Amino acid sequence: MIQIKDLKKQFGDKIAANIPELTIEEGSLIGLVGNNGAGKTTLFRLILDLLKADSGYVLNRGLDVSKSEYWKTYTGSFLDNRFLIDFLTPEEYFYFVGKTYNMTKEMVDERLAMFSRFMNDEILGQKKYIRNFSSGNKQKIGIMAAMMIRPQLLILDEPFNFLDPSSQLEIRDMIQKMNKEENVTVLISSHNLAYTTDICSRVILLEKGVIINDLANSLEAVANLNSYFVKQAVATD
Amino acid sequence: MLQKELQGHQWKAFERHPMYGRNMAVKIFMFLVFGMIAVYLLMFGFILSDLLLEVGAYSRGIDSFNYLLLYIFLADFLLKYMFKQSQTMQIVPYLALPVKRFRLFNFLLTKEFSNVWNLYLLLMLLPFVIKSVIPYYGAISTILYMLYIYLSCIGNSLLVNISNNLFRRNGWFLFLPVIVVAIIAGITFIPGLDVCDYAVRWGEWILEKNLLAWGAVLLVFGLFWYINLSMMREELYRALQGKKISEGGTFFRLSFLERLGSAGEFINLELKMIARSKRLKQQAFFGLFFVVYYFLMIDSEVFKLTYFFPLFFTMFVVGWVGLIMAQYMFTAESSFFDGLMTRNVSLLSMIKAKYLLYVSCSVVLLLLLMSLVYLGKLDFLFLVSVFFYTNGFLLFLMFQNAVYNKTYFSHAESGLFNWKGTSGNMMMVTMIAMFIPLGIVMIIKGVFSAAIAYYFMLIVGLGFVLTANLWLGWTYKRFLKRKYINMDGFRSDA
Repeated sequence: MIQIKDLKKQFGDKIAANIPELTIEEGSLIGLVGNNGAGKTTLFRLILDLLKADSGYVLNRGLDVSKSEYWKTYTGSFLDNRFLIDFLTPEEYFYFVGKTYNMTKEMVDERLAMFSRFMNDEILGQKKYIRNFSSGNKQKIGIMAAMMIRPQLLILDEPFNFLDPSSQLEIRDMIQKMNKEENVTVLISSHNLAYTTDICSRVILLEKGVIINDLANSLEAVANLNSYFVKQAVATD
Repeated sequence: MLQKELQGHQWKAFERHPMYGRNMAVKIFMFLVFGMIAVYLLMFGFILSDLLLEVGAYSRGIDSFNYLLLYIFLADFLLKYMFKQSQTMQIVPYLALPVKRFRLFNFLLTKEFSNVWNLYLLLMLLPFVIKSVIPYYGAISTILYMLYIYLSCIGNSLLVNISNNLFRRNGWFLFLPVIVVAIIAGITFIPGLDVCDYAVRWGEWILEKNLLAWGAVLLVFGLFWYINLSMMREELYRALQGKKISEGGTFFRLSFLERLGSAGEFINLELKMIARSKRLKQQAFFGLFFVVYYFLMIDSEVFKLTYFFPLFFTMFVVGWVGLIMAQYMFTAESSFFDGLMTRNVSLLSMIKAKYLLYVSCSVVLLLLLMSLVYLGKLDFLFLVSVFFYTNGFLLFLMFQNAVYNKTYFSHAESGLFNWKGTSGNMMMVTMIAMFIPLGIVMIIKGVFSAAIAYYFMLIVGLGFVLTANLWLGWTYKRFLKRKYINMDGFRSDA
């Protein structure tokens, strides 16, 4: 699904991404982990063509994301609040996004009904603009807009952030379900090791923009990750 | 001690405002604008006494000024009502500290003394009182008169705070200032009741140091201060909760635009953005104000004094939606640009939709201005040529310049004297876009004739309107070349 080759991005002297090679297979569920500043969001931005790489390229189903825009037709993503049009109500926003993917209002409503438990009666019908929702509910709106379009590739940055424990479990299950039942390729980044190792078939560990470990999920991998973060914490102390 | 500390924080907030971190061009432009306004006010104050002697109903300038004072304060009230921001949220960081709220509220109110909104009239008044008041009443009365104006300006601000507070409690209070304005305007027409004569007498009492008059001024001022203090607690809770103002109102959706596909979607989005963005809404209001002003000024001799004013104002009135909003193209979308770029939408559709909207609004304004052609107040050829020149050549320049927009734009902030989200380049080119074409037309008119200048505008404008599809596509391609730099700017300036 995604192929990355010699990808480099630097901000001043700081290396934000330096990935010689990375392949993400169709239908896989990948977790990106790493401490703050490891380059997870930068990598997502490069995959979504929101940043220009200093060198190298990202192919999405064989298409260079910086040269073709076709990948947008099957890619759903939510990185941060900049994806939300905050002067719209959630309904207006969902319909607007739906329309860009040729979805009718009925199709959007039908799709949103699947998220009713996740919304917990706090999103729709509130007569509020998105800018006035809590961080958690903004997060939910962004995630739902990304999932609603029936993507074949789903990219979510820190999807568990700001969410209450029930919603975290909910989103974890939804991601897993979409991956299993709809064969959606999913890329998530998270600081929540438990959830990431729980659902991802492969976990990529980033540090200062470099992949330092690429592990198929197993008990051994979980132990490796845990020991890495413990070492990092000790080193900081 | 606390007061000093808080003032220090206010100064730091002012000094470290992102606006001052901008490039030199913006700083120079800002100082030029403020300097120009200050010089304009001082100059106006200087000629005011002569002007009032010439057109006023009284033999002394100060009497005519007192006669007008009621209307000056009315205009001041309306201006503040529309543009002045609530300051309550400024004290939020101090709420959890062991500081009495009452002291914080008092601090907020004392800030009114140094608020530029309450000082600008004094700038105009200074040369006026030197020429028109000192000779009659002496220095002490003049200083007291200045103090009276100053207190009245602050009182007006306090009144605006009260009106805004009431409005936030209940939408129906919006009609309160409207009713007050209507009453004051209506009083003038009541036969036998010369309100302005009372105003002149009142001014004299102030100047003659009448204790009753001064007592009344201080009493009203104190009352407004007290009401503000007592309302602030609730205002603070309301601002912290942020719910009432945040309720999403219903907004019309122009369903017929759906036939235009994604362009229609973008027009709907743009309309919602203007209606729901504090800053854009204020800019739109500014444009509407000019339209009203234009209709009032069209018969004025001053308006026809030079060729520049009719041309400049007509251009602005015909194309104000585009000329104002195109400045913010891309940057107005900065807060959701990442989302836009990852969706299955074409930016070209957005650019085309914007142009379509601006031209459609311009057509409506053209039809409105046709009434002036019908009344013989405007020349048909002039109006049509201005329409095409504005929607063709001027918008072409604005759109081309917009690709350099790379700053974050906050919809929640006020628009007046707010340059955040406006690059120095954008300002410069906007000025050039407005004045160079004007200069060209004026030269042609000077060398040849007005008719040739109109035909020049018509032909050039028509050329750009007919080739709009082409240059809109070019704008899109130019933006794509800069998209990473611009998107980075949208993010880093937040």
